[in-house]
Amino acid sequence: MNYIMQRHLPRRTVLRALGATIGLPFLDAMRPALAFAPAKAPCRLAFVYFPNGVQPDTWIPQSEGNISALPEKISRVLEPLAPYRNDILVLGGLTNDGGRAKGDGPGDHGRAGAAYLTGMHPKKTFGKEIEAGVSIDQVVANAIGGSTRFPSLQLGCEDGIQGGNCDNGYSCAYSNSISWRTPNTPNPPEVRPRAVFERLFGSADSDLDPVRRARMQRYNRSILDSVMEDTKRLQGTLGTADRRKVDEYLYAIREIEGRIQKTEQSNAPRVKPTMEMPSLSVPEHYTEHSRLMFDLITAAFQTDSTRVLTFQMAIEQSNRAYREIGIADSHHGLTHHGGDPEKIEKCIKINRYEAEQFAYFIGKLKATPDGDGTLFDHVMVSYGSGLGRDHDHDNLPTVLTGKGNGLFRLGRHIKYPGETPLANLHLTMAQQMGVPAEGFADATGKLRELTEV
Amino acid sequence: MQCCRVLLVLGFSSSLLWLQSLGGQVRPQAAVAAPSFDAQVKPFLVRNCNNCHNEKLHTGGLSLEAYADEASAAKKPELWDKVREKIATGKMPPAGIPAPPKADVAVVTRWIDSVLTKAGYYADNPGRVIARRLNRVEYNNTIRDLLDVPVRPADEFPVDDSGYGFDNVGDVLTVSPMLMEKYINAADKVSHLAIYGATIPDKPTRLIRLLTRRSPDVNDVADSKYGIPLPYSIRGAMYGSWVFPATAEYEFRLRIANFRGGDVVVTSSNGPAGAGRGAAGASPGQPGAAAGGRRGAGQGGAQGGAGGGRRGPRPTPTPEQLRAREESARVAAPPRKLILSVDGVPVITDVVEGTSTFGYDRGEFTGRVTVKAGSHMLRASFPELADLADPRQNINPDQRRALFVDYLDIVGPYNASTEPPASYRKVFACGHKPGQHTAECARKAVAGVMRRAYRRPVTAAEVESKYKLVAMARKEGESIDESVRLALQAILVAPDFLFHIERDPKTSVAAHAVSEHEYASRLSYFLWASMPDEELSRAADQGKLRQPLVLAQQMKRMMADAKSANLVDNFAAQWLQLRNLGRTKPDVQRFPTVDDELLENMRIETSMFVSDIIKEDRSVLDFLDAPFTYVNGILARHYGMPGINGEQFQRVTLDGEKRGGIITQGSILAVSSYPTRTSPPVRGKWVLENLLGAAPPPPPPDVPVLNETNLGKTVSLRQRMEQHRKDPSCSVCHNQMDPIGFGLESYDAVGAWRDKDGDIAIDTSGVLPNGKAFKGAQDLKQILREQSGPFTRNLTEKMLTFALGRGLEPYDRRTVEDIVQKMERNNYRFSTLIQEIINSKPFGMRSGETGGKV
Repeated sequence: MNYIMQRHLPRRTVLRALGATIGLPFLDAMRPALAFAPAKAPCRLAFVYFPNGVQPDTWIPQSEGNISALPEKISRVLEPLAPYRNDILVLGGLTNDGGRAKGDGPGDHGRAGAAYLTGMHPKKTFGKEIEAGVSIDQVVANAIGGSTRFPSLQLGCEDGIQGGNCDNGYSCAYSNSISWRTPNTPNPPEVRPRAVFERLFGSADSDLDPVRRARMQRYNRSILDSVMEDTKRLQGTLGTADRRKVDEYLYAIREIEGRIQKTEQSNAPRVKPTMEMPSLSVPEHYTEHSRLMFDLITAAFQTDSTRVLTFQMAIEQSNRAYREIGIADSHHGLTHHGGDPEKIEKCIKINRYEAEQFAYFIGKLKATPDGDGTLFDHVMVSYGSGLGRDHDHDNLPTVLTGKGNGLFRLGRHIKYPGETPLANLHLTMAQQMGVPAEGFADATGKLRELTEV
Repeated sequence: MQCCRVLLVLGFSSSLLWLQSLGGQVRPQAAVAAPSFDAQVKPFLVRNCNNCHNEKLHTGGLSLEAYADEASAAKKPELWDKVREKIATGKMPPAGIPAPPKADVAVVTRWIDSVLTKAGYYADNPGRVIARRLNRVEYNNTIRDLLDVPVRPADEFPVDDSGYGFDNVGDVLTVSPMLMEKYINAADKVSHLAIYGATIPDKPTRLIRLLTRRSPDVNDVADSKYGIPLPYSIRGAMYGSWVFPATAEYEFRLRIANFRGGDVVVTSSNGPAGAGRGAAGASPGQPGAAAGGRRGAGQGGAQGGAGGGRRGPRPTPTPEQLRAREESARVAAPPRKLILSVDGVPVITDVVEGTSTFGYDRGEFTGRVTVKAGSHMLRASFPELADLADPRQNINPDQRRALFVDYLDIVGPYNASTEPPASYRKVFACGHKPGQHTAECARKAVAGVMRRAYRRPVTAAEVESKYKLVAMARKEGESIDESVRLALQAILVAPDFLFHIERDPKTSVAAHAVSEHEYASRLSYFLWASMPDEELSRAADQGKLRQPLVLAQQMKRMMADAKSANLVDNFAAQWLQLRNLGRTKPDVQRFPTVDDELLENMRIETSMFVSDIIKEDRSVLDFLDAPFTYVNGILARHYGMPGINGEQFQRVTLDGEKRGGIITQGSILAVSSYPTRTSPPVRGKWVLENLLGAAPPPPPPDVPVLNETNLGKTVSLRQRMEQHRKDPSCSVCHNQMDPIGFGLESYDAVGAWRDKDGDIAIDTSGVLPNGKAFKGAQDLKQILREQSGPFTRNLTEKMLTFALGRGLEPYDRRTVEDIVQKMERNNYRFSTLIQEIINSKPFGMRSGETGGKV
């Protein structure tokens, strides 16, 4: 049965609970205050993922070099990005070796999703002892996440698959999340725009006086302290595997406690929403849904609520039917086209449609003031998929945008030698974010030619 | 590619077996000394296997030549497990190659058994269920049963990952910081609700406006600013469940659109607001557009409906002319009943008369009724439309529906109860009025809630740790109610509440029975997906739960409780993949009579069917073929069953000719099809995977796509498929999947019966891999029923996985086989399955920390 979750109340409705005042929601009590106003616009990092891969010949421009000077149109799939041809880097030749079978047989989707940002070869299991790796967004969040309210955020446009066998012996966890906090703990994305908004800006429009607010903070601290005690007591009595589960819990509690501390220390003004509150229901129309999410990403960066973010335009192996553009077949099904031109054409149509939404995001970044310029100057966005041609793991579609505080010299198509690790790109971006990492996954070094020509 | 083939072979073991006898699943431990690999096994392999399975040929992706000695061979128990099945059942060597002497086979299987024994395959090991958090369903149910609050907080949690096909498997139930944040917010909200009741508007207010999708076209979306859009129904119905915040009277205000008759001209794009698309297009809910007929007729979209395009001045009609016109409009279309029901009980019953000229300006239909706080099912519809021969009779040439529910407003609450909410008494056992509880009451309340929330007795120290919060809040000047609320909030984020935690006894690391309370929790989360109730907890308190009579009685009681719908809504819905129904919708162009409502009806049919098998304690083989099902007028017409009318589902007796059993139900047939057409391999695979537990491996990625040119015109799907799988590497799998799928070809991609696919007559005959010929679903079901072993075993494995919340291990085979045998002896009764799982070792016990290792 479909449950209707929401209520529609006029904004100014006076609410009463039977016989009592209404408390401010727990996390609202520490609602968005800036930890500090950064002196100089910080660099932000976002990974935008689309599933099921792409045919490179429809994606990659034929010639290398300056995109504006290309003799041909950029490429069929990237055509929607043509207005921003000077604002992107198209990278060819990157490989994610971790996604390959390595003797584990089929399951390229499950592997592609979990390997995309971890660079690790996911363990083949229906569920027992799932294991991928720590994803690069989490590596960065661990290093610099302390400077913002949210160390990182995970957004998506599609709920995970439930039931059944997701991909040939791989648990659904692998295809549902690209962000992995630990090798065993994926960070599933939030798909409801309203929920993301409320995380960023709070839900109630009431405000409390400072005294009451401070008291609430104390209570919140006491509650967290109390359950931390429980957890510590509990851990002593548990076996190894159980303890790992409770560790996940403890980590999450600590993160929230850190957030409370940050607001306590801060006298900075409350963050004001930079966009309208999204409607309660999840938009069914993909254009509306994905663009709302891009708006929220922009708002999260603009308010410096986080600097690290992943966005799954759909889950890996998505069976979504893009009826918005007249396609009734499942996307995943179409990508097993076996050379059928009609199916290939539909795949291209879907990839272009996704690129259209991404173009919207670029426009948004360029139009959003930030520091001495726009957000576009201070972000690094990677747009790509963990699958290339026919579910292969090399020559992965990768587009970068944003200036990355000077890291990216845009407007070019760069072809790397085959087998260049995707992890090189991830490592390079992590370093630009201030992570003093020497290596990551199978990276062999920094990815060259992003800045220099 | 190589790797694919390895799996291809391994994945096959049991799928070939399912048509054979079912012997040899559980193997006795070798009593005598194990044969030697070098002296006995290796020569056997060289003689009988390695001619094909060598390093050069890798036939079937497998080389047994690679295993040069005992040590290297013993590292691959899973491989030898498969080899054992192949040789023990005579599947290898293949036909045409001389079979080895039985004695030799016996020696090799004994050696394999010794390897498997060392690897723990036959160990007497109950397994170890990992600490796992409540999943979304369990969270909602536990909150409901713990506090009786009308809220479903977990609906806002991220979707749980699933493993082994179920969303209650501990390994993949992880806790991300985001989820923690949602737990914290939920605890906050729930604790407020529990102590103070719902926050409701000071005076009756419109709480929600529900809209329906206007068309199946995703680009034609109602603006969600104006309300919550619900699924599309060709028959103009509206349905969904909503949580009512408080026990009170609510007023329902319903507007319908009546575009019957040809008098509605929808041409003008420059007409007045509302003329373009009539009332439906007038953005319902826009300020001013609403207002009622009965509550103020002749306003709103009425002009849109009746006005049509502006075509210059017309002579003013006389009152007589007006009346005559109205009367002719009234009789121009048959009266249709309109019913709004809450949980099936009518709140508004009325009749819609005439064409729009007559009827539209009646405005809103209203009704008021007292509703208990909590989730209730709403349905507003025109029940007679269920009996339209073709639902498109309700669609006008301009694609709008002739009759549909435009919106439903819920206004309230009126006369909300001023009593403390039910939850208040669940927290405060003292029973005083709010504000009159003492400190001692507070301590009792905290202890009581903790015991129930943690599903076990709690120590004084534990109570004290939460009571400290009460004391702290009291010092800050908070009321007792508020102080207890704070403790409640902490309890609801405590790990003991959020996780299923089982403790090892301090004295032993060996396998042990789980404690009485742990066992009670296992029982209640298995059957109810919720916490133990008072009676179950009491039995655990008394240490009597495991007494056979008590246990049997508790099980019976729990199965009779409505909460056991968990086995339908969560077990069966995941087992049969019903949750994926509608995730990819059937193509509207090809299946124009299929709408969200029909898909929902299919889901309901299967749920009611499964529910009856459970309630009537029927044979589980009835899943495969039963002489009954549930349909309503809508589904009956889709199926081509005469004589069933109305929206209500009714149990119908089947002769089995066309329908009977889950594989003939629309839900299963649709979920195993492409949006545009059927796929015999996909259906075949669905049956193998979900019913027989023998999924064939996926195709390698480089298979050519099916040529769809002239499909259904000059070439049948069967002919195309046969051309398509001439390659023997394809036919190995397709010979298993396709015959089953073709046997079901009489049902189209949305489960409707058909005699032809396009222009070509359907041929449902086939030959199964064991040489058994059959024709159509009826034969197929007969074969499945007769050779019930694989089905029963698969169902047992799935149910045991769901019951334990972990994937099964090789050492669980013994348990599975025991249960299967008991079911066979007991006419396959469903209750035997449940009872034997509850009585099984893995369900009642837990291995020690080290004993769980294989």
